Amino acid sequence: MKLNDYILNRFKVKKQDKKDISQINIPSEIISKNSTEYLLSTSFYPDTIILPDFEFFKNNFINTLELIYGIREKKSINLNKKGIMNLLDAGKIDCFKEEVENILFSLDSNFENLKSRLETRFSHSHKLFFMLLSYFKKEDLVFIDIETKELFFESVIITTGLGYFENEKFIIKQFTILNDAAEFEILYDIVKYLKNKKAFITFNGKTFDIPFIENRLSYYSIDHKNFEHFFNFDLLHFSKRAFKNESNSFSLKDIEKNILNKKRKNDISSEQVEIYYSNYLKTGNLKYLNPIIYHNNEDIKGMYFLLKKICEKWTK
Amino acid sequence: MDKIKKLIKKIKSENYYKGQILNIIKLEKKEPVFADNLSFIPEIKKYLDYYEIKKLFSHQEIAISEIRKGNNIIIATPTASGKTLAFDIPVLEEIKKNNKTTALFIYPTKALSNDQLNTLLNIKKITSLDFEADIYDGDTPSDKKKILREKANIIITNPYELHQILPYHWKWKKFLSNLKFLVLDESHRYRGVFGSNIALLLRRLKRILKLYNSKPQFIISTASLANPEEFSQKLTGESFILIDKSGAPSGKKYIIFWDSSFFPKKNVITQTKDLLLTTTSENFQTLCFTTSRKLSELIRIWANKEKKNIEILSYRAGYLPEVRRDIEKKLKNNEIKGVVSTNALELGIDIGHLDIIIISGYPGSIISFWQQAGRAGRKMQESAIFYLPYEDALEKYLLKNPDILIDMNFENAIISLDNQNILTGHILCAASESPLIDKNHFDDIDCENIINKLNEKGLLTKTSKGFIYSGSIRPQDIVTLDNTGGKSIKIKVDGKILEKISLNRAFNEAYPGAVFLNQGQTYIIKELNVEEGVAYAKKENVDYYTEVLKDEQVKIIEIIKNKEFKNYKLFFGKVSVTEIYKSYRIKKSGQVISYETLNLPPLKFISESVWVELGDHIKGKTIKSGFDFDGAIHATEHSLIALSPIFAICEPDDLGGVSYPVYENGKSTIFIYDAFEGGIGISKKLYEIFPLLKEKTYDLVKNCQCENGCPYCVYSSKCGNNNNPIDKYGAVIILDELI
Repeated sequence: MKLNDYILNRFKVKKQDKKDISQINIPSEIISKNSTEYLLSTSFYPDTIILPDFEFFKNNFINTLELIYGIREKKSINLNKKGIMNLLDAGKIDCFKEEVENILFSLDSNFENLKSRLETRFSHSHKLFFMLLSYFKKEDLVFIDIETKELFFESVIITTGLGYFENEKFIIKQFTILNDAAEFEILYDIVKYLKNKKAFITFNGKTFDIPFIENRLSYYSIDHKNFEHFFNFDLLHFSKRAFKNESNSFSLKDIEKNILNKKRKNDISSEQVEIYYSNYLKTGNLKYLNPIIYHNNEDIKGMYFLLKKICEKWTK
Repeated sequence: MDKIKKLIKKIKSENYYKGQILNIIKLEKKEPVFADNLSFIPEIKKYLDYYEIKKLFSHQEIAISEIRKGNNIIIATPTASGKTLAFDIPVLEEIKKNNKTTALFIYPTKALSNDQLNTLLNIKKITSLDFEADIYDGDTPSDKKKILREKANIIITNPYELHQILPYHWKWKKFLSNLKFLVLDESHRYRGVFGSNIALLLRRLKRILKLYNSKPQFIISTASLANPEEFSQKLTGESFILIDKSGAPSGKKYIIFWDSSFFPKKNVITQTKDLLLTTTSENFQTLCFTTSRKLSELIRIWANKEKKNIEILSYRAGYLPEVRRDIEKKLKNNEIKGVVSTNALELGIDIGHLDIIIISGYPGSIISFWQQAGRAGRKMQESAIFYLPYEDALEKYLLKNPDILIDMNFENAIISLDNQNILTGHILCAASESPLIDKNHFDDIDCENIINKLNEKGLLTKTSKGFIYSGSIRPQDIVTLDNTGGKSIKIKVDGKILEKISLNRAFNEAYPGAVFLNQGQTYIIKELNVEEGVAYAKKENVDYYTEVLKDEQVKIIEIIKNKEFKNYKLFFGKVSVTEIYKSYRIKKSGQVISYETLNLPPLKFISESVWVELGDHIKGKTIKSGFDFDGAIHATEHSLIALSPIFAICEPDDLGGVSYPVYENGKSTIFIYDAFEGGIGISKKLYEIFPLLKEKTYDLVKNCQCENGCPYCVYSSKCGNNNNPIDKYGAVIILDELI
């Protein structure tokens, strides 16, 4: 006897045949490539950030006596008391003379040399590293944040969000897979977006987002030599230094709450991303992707406002 | 009269000597065979001059010239024949030619890695050759790892580390792109379940190497094996030139076979202690190997109690490193006369050259026997090896048939590429390392069927770039190299995990009431919860031990191969095994104290098996001769299993067996199966070498001088029916018919 198909089908979730793009709250389009699809969502906001300029960096640099070997905060204060306020003053003292010359030379030399010089003295959360922003034009910077299926690097990236400046706007482009096979197509296209960029702005991107992306690019043998040398302004580390007295938790959400006075509405946690994605896979209904895209969009916006806040605080 | 002869004479005059020396085999002094004229770069010449090595041995010469020609080689010569130098030289030559050249040396243990590193650093110091070599493993700090990946010419690592780093191959781009040599030293360790995992790990590595257009030469070293070519081919998927004739010299050696049963009042452990005291009192530096930590401690304590003027130490892996280093140094400098050790001192640790080795209890394989024996007389001096077998059919067989031990060419190292469970795990790992694109993922292994199934299950996803990994846990964290990936049981003590063992092993060793051994400490298992995957244990010092008794049922699923002989048919195929663990016995000093019943669910698994279907007339003949056929076929099964490890290296627990006087098809049948889900290739090998196995088994049973069967011939300590019925002479009739 043949089984009743109607009864059998009652045990299955009904999949939507045609994807209904209107289910997504952020303006989006479906990109079809190599018999797979991904979702590209675009949103933009007015840009009001003012990045530190080079003169400002230079002043700060010259005023940092700790650039000299053997001088830490305490010794620097003692030297100030003796009227030695900056590197130029210190350069007049015989024992510092030669080294100060070298330090000042690095200021005029290229970015890499300067960065190496800073690395010999300070951790990457130091103010001077943040001020290296003055070496970049706004168009050089790209914000990046990913949502992944699992936390280990051999797993799949579901949404990749990029944020960048263009024509006085801050634009967010989000790439979301519509099946696992689309991950390759997204990564392939993202590399093109990153082509003219020079530095990343991330939140914990040093340990998570960037190595994760690098691992996935290498997994698919996608050439990405050009951004192996990108400078990564990891806002997590700068925040810990800038707001150490103002917040006791340094998750992006808590910083937004405690420092930026912003509270996200109906946001999901990173751990829930996989659940919504598999609900989408089961049903084919794009609405399940909304919370993921919203969460990622909020993260990038959060990074934007955090960058702005640190700029304001440290360039006063 | 030479020194050893004098010693033997002395032993024979001792009170404890009751004629135990059954056999003395003299291995004559072997003169070196030198290489003719091999030329070297000046740096290597300097190194050889430093150690006053005028000429290399013949096998080293062949190895060097074959490596220079670009061939894959396998060197299967005895311990201490200079294998390391034979591949270090051509690797370093190549690095000198091109400083970008890299080589990956894989060692099974830490001690061996350290040894190799010291050798290389020593060469560097003497020759001023310019190369970077270092160990890269779990203990290497991460900043150092980064430098090594960029700068090192030679990286020494272990399979566990390789398994973890393969997903990050892109960080190794420079090293892998320039990889010229892949060295697998001491590779006979890569056998059984471990070896089968390593074989697939190496195929994963080869797949990654293709991404970087690298095709390194393989250099394998191993102890003597019956199947070096088959083994190396299965391990790597490559073909090799075999170098197995050693040109290294050796001093005169006496192998002395000691049958402790001649003096039943003293057990073999006490006799070991007696011998040790005689050899050390006669001023021979002696190293005594035992089979367990507990025994090594016992022998030391008894020996020291009896003779206070001779210091005897014990050695085992559990000691602190400083303590171990101290004992090693004392041995090397001849500051102590005697050490009792577990197999921890078997390999890779430099302790110099000893006069006497006592092997108390068979170390599990002929390879290990010779590695222990190889500790004696490394230079040309005379030495002796005493072998004292324990109460076991296989050991006793070796005592009576020393040629099996001396010949060294009976043991097959087994690797299975067919175990679906192991293969599945490594396919998932591979897919997470680089998408599975072409069909020849693991060159010689067919994976298509499994890949399709994994795709259906959603663990792999088909993409335009190949199959990608879609599981939700990092596969390298799930796949471990020393098991088959099946269900495991955690042994927990006070909430802490003591050890993780396979389900099969848990049924054999961790049932409620069992005495479980870990690091020489005894624990009592209180509960085995199969569903939760936990066995709860409590630390208790007990002086008894337990043995489980089980019944087995086997059903044939598929016949893969068969051969027909005059009086029997031989089969190899897939079977379904049901093991019923019905009781266990408590034993103290070999005596059964009591039997306890067990209430465990039956253990069911699919495995591989070899089985013998006896010709119908054999039953008639056995009965006609006045023997019990049921007991005869049962005894035949036990003795066949007992000798199997000599031909297919494995642990006694790796095989199971069952005999049916009348099987479902009406035939009298004996099954021997792999005690692992999916099988691991042991019974497959037994199918191939069955004629040899049955011949040797016939010798064993026929020549045993016991009256009605004993643990040395047809009794098995694991038999669920308590060796009942058993008919030794009936078994001789059956085995005779098989020949």
